[in-house]
Amino acid sequence: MSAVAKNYVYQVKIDKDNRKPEPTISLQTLKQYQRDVAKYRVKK
Amino acid sequence: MDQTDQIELFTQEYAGLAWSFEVNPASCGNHSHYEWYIRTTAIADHISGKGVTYVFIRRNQAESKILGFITLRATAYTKIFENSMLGYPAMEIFELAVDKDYEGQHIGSELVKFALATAYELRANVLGIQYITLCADAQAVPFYEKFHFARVDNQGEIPREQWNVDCIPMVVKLPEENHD
Repeated sequence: MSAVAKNYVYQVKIDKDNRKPEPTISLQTLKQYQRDVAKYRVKK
Repeated sequence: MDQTDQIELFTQEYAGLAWSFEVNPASCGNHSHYEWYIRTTAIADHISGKGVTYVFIRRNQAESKILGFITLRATAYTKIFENSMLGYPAMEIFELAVDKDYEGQHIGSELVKFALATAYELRANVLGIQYITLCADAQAVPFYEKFHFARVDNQGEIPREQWNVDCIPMVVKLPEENHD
């Protein structure tokens, strides 16, 4: 296995091992924000 | 009287307006930093690739006025593990300020929403972004928490500069989405 592949496997492992709740924004909220700010965007 | 509010890229065209932009010293621990950033540094940072500034600008028949600004840049959110430090793709809200005469009018909120919406759009087909980071003045922490940001825990870190080494690092993760 190449060094790059080993590193990737390692990263996936520690990501999994250390998985805990992170502050996350929902897709629904992001889409709402997108609609909220659409009015401020310059029409091109 | 016709009045329009827009969020626009801050360019040399608006540089003169930046000189009337003032931050309330009671609202932030470093008000002069933000005033000088928009007046003297924002355009240079855009040229050098260090950050892109957008201004919330109000226009009416009499004048145009910068009510607030936000600077965005690419960064890495790093997580510290026992024997390594890993970087994850992120966008940073590098600067955010609102003019002292327009506080409490949701200008800052609209700029944060703009940043989050922009990150969401970029990552669909332009640039990998998993996290949005920022470094907040202590009194701004509750403001950012309204947008789902949380203080970085002791396993995370974001790059900081000398002027804001005492700020509070905050982060929010974007959700996974299938872009097929």
